[in-house]
Amino acid sequence: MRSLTANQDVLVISNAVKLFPVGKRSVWDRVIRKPQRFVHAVDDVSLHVAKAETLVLLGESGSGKTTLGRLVVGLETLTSGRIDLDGEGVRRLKDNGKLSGRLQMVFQDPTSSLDPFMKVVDCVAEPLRKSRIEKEKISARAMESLGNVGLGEKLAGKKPSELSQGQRQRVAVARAIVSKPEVIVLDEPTSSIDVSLQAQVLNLLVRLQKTQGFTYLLITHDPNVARYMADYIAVMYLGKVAEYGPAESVLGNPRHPYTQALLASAPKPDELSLPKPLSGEPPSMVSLPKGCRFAPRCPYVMERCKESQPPLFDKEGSLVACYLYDH
Amino acid sequence: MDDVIDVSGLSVDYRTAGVVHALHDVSFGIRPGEILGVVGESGSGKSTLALAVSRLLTTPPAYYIDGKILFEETDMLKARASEIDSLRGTGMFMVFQDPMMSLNPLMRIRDQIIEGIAVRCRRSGETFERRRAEQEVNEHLTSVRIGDASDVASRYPHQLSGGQNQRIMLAIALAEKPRLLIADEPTTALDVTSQAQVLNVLKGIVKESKMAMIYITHDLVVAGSFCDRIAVMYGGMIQEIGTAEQVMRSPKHPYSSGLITSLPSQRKADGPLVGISGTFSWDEVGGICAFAPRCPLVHDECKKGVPALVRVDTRLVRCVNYGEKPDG
Repeated sequence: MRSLTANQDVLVISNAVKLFPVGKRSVWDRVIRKPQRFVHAVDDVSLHVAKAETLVLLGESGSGKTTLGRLVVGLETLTSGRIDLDGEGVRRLKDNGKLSGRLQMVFQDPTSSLDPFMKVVDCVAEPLRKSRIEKEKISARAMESLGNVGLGEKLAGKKPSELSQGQRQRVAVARAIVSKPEVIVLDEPTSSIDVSLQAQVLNLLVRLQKTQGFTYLLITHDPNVARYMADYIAVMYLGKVAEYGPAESVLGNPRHPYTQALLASAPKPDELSLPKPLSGEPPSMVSLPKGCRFAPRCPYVMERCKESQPPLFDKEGSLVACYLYDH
Repeated sequence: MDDVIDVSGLSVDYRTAGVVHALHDVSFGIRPGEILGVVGESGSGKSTLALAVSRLLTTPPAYYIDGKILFEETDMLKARASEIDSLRGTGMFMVFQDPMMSLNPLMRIRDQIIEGIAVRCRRSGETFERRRAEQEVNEHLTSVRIGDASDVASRYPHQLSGGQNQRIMLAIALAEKPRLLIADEPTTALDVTSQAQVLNVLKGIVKESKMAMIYITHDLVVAGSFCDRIAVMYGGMIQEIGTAEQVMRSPKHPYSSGLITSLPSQRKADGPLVGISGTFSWDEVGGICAFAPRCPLVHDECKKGVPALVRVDTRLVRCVNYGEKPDG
């Protein structure tokens, strides 16, 4: 696939597919060969992230963005397709035990992602536990990492429950960077914390990227967070990429009708009127429309949209899955 | 027009191991058809305010210390429990963050809305007819923009999406026709597209049926786009209260402006966000300006006591950097 960036790609996702089976099939269902139904959580997604850049997966619940993030770090197994880290398959690296420390994830809720019985410094040091680094060096690295996220030595001996929500999320970031991973998957890292703390965490993530060259795959539903963090944006809808391109192009000149609707729905800080709502509900994940998945809600729907799924069309550096751009 | 609800000098304490002044000297009034947004971070006292106004706080640990809550003619703090019960639903109606917690999982949507209609009929003396009520259900579902009303009415809450369920809650509110709607983070659990749908429906309802509304949220952007007036809370006190335009376009309190500059409205290449340093802690509240420990403009004057609310143009601000006291 053609690369959108000049920098070298660290993470390459090619034709990733993840299906989740729905319901249990009884013996009778098998006898009558009733077909197994699936949720198409991620459907033929190809993306890539270059070193020291941020790719934002922007979408609503059910868009498959979190499943894709979990596939990247190996928490889920691909149904088909591949995901490569520096040219090697993530799956094989994981099976050989060579993945640990090279990919890290920061989850939405730090309260449930940090072990409540561990001291902060031990939480942070955990990704190094399996490595061959000596014990003394491990805690030194953990302290350094805590310093990098702006948490002092005072907090190192505390339990996560003694910290505020914002501090806990910093601990989660410290844990993610301690092994100096090649790619960090950030799954809604600020949606469970207050606005003033969100600014602190976003600033921290950008500073770490600038000074230490981390590569981020950021998952968010908030266009404002996406605008601040992104170099590239992939807008997802029901498991498929709707639009993929440089951040300023996707946000400044959205081409896919879904991207336009999503951005129009988000309230803007400088406007004092209500955003225009998109009509309708997303279709069921189990029985998706045959054609474009956005067709039932799309204001520009055409006959062919209902017949077949649009491929990604190249439009001045952006890729758009919409027949409006087929010329 | 008279205010639907008039809160003056309301103070509420939580007494557990220590005492927390969860609300201190909170005053506001809301006219029919007006939306007051209450904005603050977690721990600011905004949810306590919603529960205090509707008398849903449990004692202990919560104690009303001072102040008055006047809902139309009823003095909420002196009224008997039975009087307040008869106001719930048709007088004041609460919508919470998670609609699944408010809806009965074992009842069809239709029956839950009819329950509301029946309550309204009983209290207002209307005659209740099942057939007419069923028609009314469809009307309410249509006005909250639920497309296939009769199909949705025969479903259970778990078969609907979060956005649909929250709109069902609003349909019940429509059925009960309250004079005051209190909504505590009603769209926080929703996606941006469902949020836009719910907010548009809500605004239409409030303006059309002249309800007063308290809208509690941590999201200043949503408050700015949805509310007529905004009260910014911090440490259990109103720090600034004015029209949405005053608060969003020209905030006076350093906390309000900090909240606005915290919003990511730029790109990372444009430099870091100017947020608010530190975090809120109840240990630091008391005796001085609650925001002083985190305020970029803090000086000695801030630590000489809790600043009074002062009038700046037509808004009120609790900050020593501004003018005279309102009555002095």
